[in-house]
Amino acid sequence: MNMFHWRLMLITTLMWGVMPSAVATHKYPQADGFVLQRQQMVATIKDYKVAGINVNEQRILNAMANVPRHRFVPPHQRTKAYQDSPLSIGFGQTISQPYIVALMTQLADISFGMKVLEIGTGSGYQAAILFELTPNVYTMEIISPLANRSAKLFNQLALTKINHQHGNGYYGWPQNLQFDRILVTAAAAHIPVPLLKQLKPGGRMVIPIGPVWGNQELLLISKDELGNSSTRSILPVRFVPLTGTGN
Amino acid sequence: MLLLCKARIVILAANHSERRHAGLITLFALALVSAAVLNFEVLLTRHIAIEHWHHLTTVVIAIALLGFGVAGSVAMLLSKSIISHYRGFLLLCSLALVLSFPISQLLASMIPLNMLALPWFGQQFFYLLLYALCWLPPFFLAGLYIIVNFMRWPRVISRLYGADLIGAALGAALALFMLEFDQFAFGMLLSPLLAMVALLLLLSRLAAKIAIITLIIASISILLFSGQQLLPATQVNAFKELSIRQNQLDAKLLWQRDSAQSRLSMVSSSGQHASPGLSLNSESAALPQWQLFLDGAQATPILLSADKGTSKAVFAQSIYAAPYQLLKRQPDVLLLGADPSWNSWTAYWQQANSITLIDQHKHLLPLLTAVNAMAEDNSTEQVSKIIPEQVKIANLHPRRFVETTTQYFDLIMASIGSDPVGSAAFSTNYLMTLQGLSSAFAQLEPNGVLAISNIMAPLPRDNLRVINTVVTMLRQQQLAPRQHLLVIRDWRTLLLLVSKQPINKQQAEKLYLWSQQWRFDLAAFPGLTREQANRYHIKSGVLYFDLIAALTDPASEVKSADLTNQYAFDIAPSTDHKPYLFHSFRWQSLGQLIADLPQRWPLLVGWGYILSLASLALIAPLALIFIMLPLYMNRQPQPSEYRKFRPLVYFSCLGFGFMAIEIALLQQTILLLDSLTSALATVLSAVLIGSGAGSILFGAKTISPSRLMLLIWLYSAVLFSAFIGFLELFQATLAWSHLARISLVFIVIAVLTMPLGLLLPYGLRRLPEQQPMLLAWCWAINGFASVTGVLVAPIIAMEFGLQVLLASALCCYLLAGWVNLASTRS
Repeated sequence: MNMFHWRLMLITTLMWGVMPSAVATHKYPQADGFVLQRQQMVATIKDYKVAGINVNEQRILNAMANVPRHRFVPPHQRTKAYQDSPLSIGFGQTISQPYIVALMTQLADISFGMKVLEIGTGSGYQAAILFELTPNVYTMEIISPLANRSAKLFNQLALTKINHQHGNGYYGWPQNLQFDRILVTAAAAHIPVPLLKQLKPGGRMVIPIGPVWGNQELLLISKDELGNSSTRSILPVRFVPLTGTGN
Repeated sequence: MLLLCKARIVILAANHSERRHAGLITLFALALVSAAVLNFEVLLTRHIAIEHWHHLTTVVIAIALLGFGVAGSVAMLLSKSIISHYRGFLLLCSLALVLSFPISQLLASMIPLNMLALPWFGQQFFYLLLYALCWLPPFFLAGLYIIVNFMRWPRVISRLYGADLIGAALGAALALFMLEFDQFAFGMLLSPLLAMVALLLLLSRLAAKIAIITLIIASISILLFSGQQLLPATQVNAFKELSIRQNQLDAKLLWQRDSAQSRLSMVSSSGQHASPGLSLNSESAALPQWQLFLDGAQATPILLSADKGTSKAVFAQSIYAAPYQLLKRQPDVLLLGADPSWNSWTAYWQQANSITLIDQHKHLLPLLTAVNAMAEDNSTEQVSKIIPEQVKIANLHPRRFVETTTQYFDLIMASIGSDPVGSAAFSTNYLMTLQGLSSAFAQLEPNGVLAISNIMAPLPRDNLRVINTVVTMLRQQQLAPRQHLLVIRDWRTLLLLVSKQPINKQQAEKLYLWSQQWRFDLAAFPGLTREQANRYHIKSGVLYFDLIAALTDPASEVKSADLTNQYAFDIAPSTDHKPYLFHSFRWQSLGQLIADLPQRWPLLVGWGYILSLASLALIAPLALIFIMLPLYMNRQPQPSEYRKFRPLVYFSCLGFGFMAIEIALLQQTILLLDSLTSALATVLSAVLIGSGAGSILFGAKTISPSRLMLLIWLYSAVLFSAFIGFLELFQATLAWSHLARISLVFIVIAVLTMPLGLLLPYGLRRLPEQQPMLLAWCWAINGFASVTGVLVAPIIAMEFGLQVLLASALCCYLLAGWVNLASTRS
């Protein structure tokens, strides 16, 4: 590493120090022994490219580096918490692969202050990541033991400002709020119409399609200013037939 | 008791000749052991399908069947002890067999196997192996029991083998009877009970030890009957859809029923909101519903109040309303596919003149009865009708229905039903073949439409094969595909619309406007551009639009052939001889997949084929080790003739050939008997009884090797011709009742497979009597070859078709005959 690089690093560090941050980085209560593993996970996510798409937004990578993922998985799974794979969290549910969590967050394109609804709290990890980006996070879980577990964990990790509820997410947040972004973290076989109604014009919804352990494809739903919705499948497969007719 | 007393008299009468000939009691006990293990094997297919996935069944049973081979190897090593203490071995085997059934089930239930996590965690392969090994002991013990009998009474091997096969046939029939009458749990208990009867028969000879007998029987009985509570019931894995749903808010399992085909479970939960194909522009929320699960997966909505006028809008805004835009009058509708409740209500609200619903698996009648009962019991649920009253239900296979009906329809709706993991590679689909689709197309009214729906995979695979089959069918009928085929899609569902007449301008315009109103994209449509085909549900990379354009290119069929030959997956049209719609794996594409998607390629290939190959890679070396190990451990001098590899080739050929013939017959018979279960029951029983009878009738006869060779040639010619004739038989028996077809198929197959029972005892009898260990070794070879056959046969069938599979089986028999001939000459 030459002098130029050292200087660049110094300037960058100083800049971070003086610039007002638009990201609400949460201070987790205690230090843990997983910092290195988290950094490796972030590096893996950064390098991971599914046919041209990768997660390159620094604030999302920072969020992934800050949230202690191992706290959101059952104790017997902690050694695997930072592997880039889904993990079982009980009740047939999973905590998504870190890359998918990061990619969904990037696709949602969340700015500070936006109101974000997550359907399917599960482990609570995705909600914690969202909370790194905006303080207005709402999350719902239909499976009662998971809802209780995540509520307890939010308390333990001082994430009490995350709004969480145990209930059926199909109908959206009960108070009929309007959201800028909605993330559905349970794989979908259909797009809930009532949820679409809670999405503001110009809003975005991200939904994974297909089995969590299988070939999951992300669906990005955009609502235009007139209230019309369209979908975009986010798995741009480069793979084309050899005849080239796909080109 | 009376039966036991009679059996005892028979034993005493036959006891004097026991030293040279196996008595009736021996034959009866052997048949019972075989019946117990076959009953277990058949029920195990259901158990695994419910607990995990039915695609796993072949793999697990193949590994479990290794037990038969291992038994041969062990028997070879213990041959001296077996001969001198055969009674002790038989008693021990049967006692252990009784216990092994429940213990296997208990151990298997403790393994944290999650098939879905297989591509992610290597340890899941270890769990899979452990899970399969748990089922091995019953097969090992049954195999050992049989070979001990063979070794003790080599002179009457043909009778013993006959009893073994006939017992096995009865066991298989018993299992299917239990399944058909919703007695799955009791069926599982029958295997240890049958084995216990065999044990009792053996014990009845030891009158002096009555006290011990009583003690053992009492212990076993306590274990078995209390075991119904102690042992885990057959339950779906925690990762399956049904388990997940049951964890949800206020979920209730309303009804459950086991049939020979599947376990049906109906769940109510306020978290169920399926609305297949509903437009993004729709204002309607999902209708109140329960959901029906098949083997804990494939949730189907059962709508509870779709008859109310407020529901009408939902059915007009779903992609399934698209075909109705092409019709000119109130249609006569035929529904061949999935989602019976949703599709029949769609037809109802589209003012259908008549609705015929094909209930292939006979789910609907018990379901309707159950729903009516539940509606009466449960006043909180507002249940009206789950399907419209005017629907006519026909319990037939869709293929048979379209072949036999004299009615013509304005709309025929079918669904492909792809499995997202691609694990159904070896499942047959006789409706989506060239012949099947032609028959459906022929039943359309002049202005009728055939609609075929399916979910879309990230890379077009099964759908493209069906499109290719449709295009080929249209070309065969001298119709221009582009004038008859329209394709519409949303983000998840693809719907093919195949019109009998060329689509006219008014029809096209109506469909176009409707699709724009509800924001559905068209993928094949006159004058459509690539941009227009990707407007509301945007996909990147390969578009159906491009692929369909290549397949339907009017200028050149070469382009279509090029795409078929060079596409990433196998998309050649399905035929009745190769009805494997879901097998699309291609070796030539694997490199490109790995290069393009290094981390995701395992998720994109069809896992059914990969699992078959992986199992083969695991089992073939294991089989080889178990065949060679006893030879290595028992290196005493042997007659030079038998140190050669001829017995190895002979018995390997028989093992593989037998399984390959059975699988080829089974797969083709599904077409004749409409369902896998009927085919399995009939073919398994017929093959086992036919070959068992063959063994008893002809196994003891002295036939010269040259005459045997001639007989195999003749037999091969007859069987192959008959197999080709199976498709003709299908046409000839179209209007026959199910029972008449089962009887015909049973008789034909039993007669055709009689000679198969001759060859194993023939070969075993040619071994020197003073070398029982060789007999055990040959049994082991036969067992291992059978297991390999179970895994190789599907691969051959998927790659080359059923005729090639049968031809390779017959080649094996010819090779066995030639080896036998050569051995005599030398």
